[in-house]
Amino acid sequence: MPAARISTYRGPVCPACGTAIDLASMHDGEQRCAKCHTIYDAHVFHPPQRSARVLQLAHTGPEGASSCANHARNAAVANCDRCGLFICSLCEIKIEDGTFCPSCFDRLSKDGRLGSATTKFRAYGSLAFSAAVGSLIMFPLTGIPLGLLTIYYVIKGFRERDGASTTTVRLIVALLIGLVGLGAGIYSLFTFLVPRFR
Amino acid sequence: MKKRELIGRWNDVATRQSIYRTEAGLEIDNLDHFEVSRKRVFYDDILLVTRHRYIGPWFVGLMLFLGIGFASIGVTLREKPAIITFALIGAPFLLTALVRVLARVDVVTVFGKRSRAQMRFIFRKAKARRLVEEISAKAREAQQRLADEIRASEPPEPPAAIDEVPMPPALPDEPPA
Repeated sequence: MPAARISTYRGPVCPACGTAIDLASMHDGEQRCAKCHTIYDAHVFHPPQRSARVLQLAHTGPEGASSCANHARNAAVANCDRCGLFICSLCEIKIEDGTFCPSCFDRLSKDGRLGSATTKFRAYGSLAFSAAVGSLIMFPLTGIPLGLLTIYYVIKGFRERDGASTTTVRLIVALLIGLVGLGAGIYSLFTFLVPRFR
Repeated sequence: MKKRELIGRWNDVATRQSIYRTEAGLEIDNLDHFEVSRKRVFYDDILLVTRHRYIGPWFVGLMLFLGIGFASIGVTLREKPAIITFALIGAPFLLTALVRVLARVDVVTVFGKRSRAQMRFIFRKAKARRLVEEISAKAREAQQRLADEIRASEPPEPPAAIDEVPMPPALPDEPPA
C-alpha cells in the first residue's frame, strides 16, 4: 500500500504568526494581522478553477468514440503514450514528457523516469563537499578514496546541475579541496611506502 | 532542460531552501542532508503574495547575549589588552544585532493552492519589492490566460427553446364547386 502523503500546508495564513486568514475578505494593499498586529503588503488572487469536462459515451454513441479502460461510461479522449490504453479526460495525465494513464504515470514517476514529475534529487554539491572535507581532514587514511569520490560527485553534480540546487561555486570549491586531499593522500602513501622499498 | 533562476533563499536552524523562478512558476528546493526535495507553486495557482518585515527577537537576543557576554569577560579581567581583545570579539555580535534592529528582514511569501514559497532578504529591500511586483504580474497574467482558455473551451450555448413552432399560413378556402 502506498504511503499516505502528509502535508502540513493549509492554505494562506498570516506570514508572520501563521494564523489562518479569510482570503475572501482580503483586498490588495496593506493588511494588519488581527492576532500579531503585523502589517504586511498583500496581493490577493482568485485563480479560476480548472475542471475536466468528461465526455459521456451515451452522448457520442458507440460509433462516435471508444470507452475509457477505467470508466466504461466515459468516452476515451486519448491514448496512454506508454501502454496505449484508451483513457478519458479524468484519467488523462498530461505532462511535458507526454500523456499517460494513472498507472503508467505512477510507475514511471516511481522509477524516476519522468523528468518533470521528479521531486527528489541527490544533492551532489553537498555530497562532494562532505567527501572533499573528509578527504582533507583524514588524508593519510581517506585522502585517496574520498578524493576520488569527490571527483565522481563533482562530475555527477555538473551533469545534473540544472536538476538540483547545487551551485557551480560549491562544486568547484569541493573539487579543489578534494584534489588537495587526494594529493595529500598520495604524498603520504609515497612517504610511507618509499622508505620501505629502499 | 528548462531554465531556472535563483531568486531567493530561506535558511534557518532547521531549514535550507532555495527558491527558483521558472516559466511556469516557482520551484522550492528543500535541502535535507544529501537529498533535495522539490515543491512547486505555479503562477496560475497563486492565491496570495505578501511582503512583511520582522526583526527576529531570538536572533537579536542571541547576538546581544554573545556581544555583551564577551565584553563583560573582558571587563572582569581588568587588564587593558584583555578588555580590548574581548571588546573586539564582542563588537561584531553587537553590530549584527544593531544592523538587524535598524534594517530588519524583508520576507516575501507566495501562497499557492498546495504549497508556499518563502524568501528572506536582509539587505536587498528593493529586490524584495521588485520580486513581489514581478510575481504578482506573472500570476495575474497566467490566471487571465487560464480563464480565457476555460472560457474558450466551454461548449457553445444551446439554442433557446422555441415556445411556439411557426406554422405555415393556412390555405385559402377552396371556392365551392
